[in-house]
Amino acid sequence: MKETPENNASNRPVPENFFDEQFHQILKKTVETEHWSIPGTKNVESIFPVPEGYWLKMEEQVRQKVNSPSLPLLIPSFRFKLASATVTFLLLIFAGWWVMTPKLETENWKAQLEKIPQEDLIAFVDYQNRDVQEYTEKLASKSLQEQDLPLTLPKMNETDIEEALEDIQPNDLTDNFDIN
Amino acid sequence: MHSDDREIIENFRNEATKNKAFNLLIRKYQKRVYWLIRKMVIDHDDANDVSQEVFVRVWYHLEEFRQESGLFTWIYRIATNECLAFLRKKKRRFFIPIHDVEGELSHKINEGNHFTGDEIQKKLQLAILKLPEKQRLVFNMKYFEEITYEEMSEILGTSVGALKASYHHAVQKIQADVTLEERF
Repeated sequence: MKETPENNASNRPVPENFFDEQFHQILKKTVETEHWSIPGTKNVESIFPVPEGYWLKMEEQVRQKVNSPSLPLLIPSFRFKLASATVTFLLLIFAGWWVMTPKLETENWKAQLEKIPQEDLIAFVDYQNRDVQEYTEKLASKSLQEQDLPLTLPKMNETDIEEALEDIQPNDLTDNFDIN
Repeated sequence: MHSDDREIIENFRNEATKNKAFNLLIRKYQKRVYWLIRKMVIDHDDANDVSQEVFVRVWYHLEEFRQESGLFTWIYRIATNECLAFLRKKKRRFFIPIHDVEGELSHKINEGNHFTGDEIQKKLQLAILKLPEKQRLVFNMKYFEEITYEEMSEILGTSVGALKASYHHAVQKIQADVTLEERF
């Protein structure tokens, strides 16, 4: 096998006490770090000014706070409870809206359906469910006067009409009938 | 735990002596707590707010204190948590990245209202501000307050080895920073 620098390095014998020396170096460095300091910088209290009479004032302020806690300083558990109560309340409103909205729409929808004459409604669903191609062809073969009367076309049977009525969407009604 | 700390806790748990015990506790620890926080937040008003919040928390939770650690260690743990939370909140509030908060703190040191040290003290403080928050905390505790690694480990919930490494790296960065500045 050809010798590479790595092989050379791994074959080189480790000097006696190598690990002891390494350990000693690390220890020395750590100890040096431990005692490292820039002269005259240890007394931090002299370099950050504090207003006169501050310590007594602070004591007084803390005492006031614990005796009459204001809202922002109330215990965190209370703040947490307040936040969770707000979130729960909002969630309940959203859930209520989410559950009720489709119901309201359905009720409104049923009321709208009742306003439309049954005959027109059946004609409409009949028109909606007819094969477009077939319907267009039939229309094309009729005179212009006949074209606005979908009722003249063959009617669907009752089951088909019931199914089709179930499929009607609110938009279909508002787009096609004059209802509020 | 020191006997006077034990006495403070016992008196605090008694309704009749609660206020007196709390006053003693504030008097005993207010300076140490304040200075730990002041070195981190630089501004006096901020340090005052955070320190007061620490003691308000102590008031509400001292009865739950199980005395598994010393009272000082427990209070310091609250103080370090409050301090780091304050700095995080400051960052979030203004939506500014980390260096900008440090920039703001450096500015406070440079403008002189919050700092009256000489040139070398200023250089050291500015170099400390460049450290990551937790490393800054470790450095301050070890360098200025000479808290033992074992005690620091209890306060910060970090292993002694990790704290030693953290301090070692902090010193090296500060040394490099101060030396580099001196060269230019």
